[in-house]
Amino acid sequence: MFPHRGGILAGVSEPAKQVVDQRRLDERFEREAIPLLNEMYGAALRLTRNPSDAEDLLQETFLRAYRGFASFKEGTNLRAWLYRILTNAFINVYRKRQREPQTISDSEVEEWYLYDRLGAEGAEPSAEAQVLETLPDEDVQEALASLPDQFRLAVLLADVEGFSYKEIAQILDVPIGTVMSRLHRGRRALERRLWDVMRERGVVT
Amino acid sequence: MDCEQALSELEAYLDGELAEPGRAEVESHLFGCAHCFDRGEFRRRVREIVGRKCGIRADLPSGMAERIHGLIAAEGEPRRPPG
Repeated sequence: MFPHRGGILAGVSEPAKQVVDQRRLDERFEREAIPLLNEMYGAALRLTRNPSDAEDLLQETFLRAYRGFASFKEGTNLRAWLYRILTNAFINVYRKRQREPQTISDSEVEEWYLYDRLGAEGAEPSAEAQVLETLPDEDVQEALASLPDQFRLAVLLADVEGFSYKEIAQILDVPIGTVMSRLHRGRRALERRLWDVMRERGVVT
Repeated sequence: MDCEQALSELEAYLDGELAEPGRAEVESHLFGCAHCFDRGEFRRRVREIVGRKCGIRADLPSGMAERIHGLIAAEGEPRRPPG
């Protein structure tokens, strides 16, 4: 389409109307989406864990968001909409060649695996969660990043980004029941991997 | 509500996703049962620690906003027919 063509003869021609609509859309994008750049950069960084990848992902996200902004329903959750574009771009661009398994086996989902082991170490298990504090941040980030993407994303969106089940369902485009099951399996597998890291680090025996 | 029921709802309870009266029922069980309360506190702590340790914060690198504005401006430029 050539939105700027056909101005001379037109009074309220279709192309002229398109130009006006586009201008309104541009203004809204500037006013509503651009102020979220800073927050979305943080989200991109937490997802890619690498500043240069985060910059690329942010550019891709805002370009896609700009192109698709007409399909964003005014007054709905823009933050969740941008996260949806961000996670899709992440999966498409960075994980195309991923060959890792995308499932978590049942053996990794023992409900009180970490609790039982930390509790056996000594004091009250709730106090024993404290031992996790001694792990370097990078170890915990690494453990989370080691989960298959669909589980990692659910845990990241809930426990790090603070989204509700409903918002996560919108972002990942899955039913709420699926969000709950991915969160459950993802968190249990994460606890198990944290236990392994603590053992490697000699924090627990 | 017994322990089994309470623990099966624990995750949704901690996520603030339980509607009344379910939320109050789980809560009253937790406050009356050390076995379940301790597990709930454990989960809450783990989640808080994971959230904080993975919650990397950073400001937008300088020049980034300008670069994105440039990309968008180029996108919005009138596309004229060749020639």
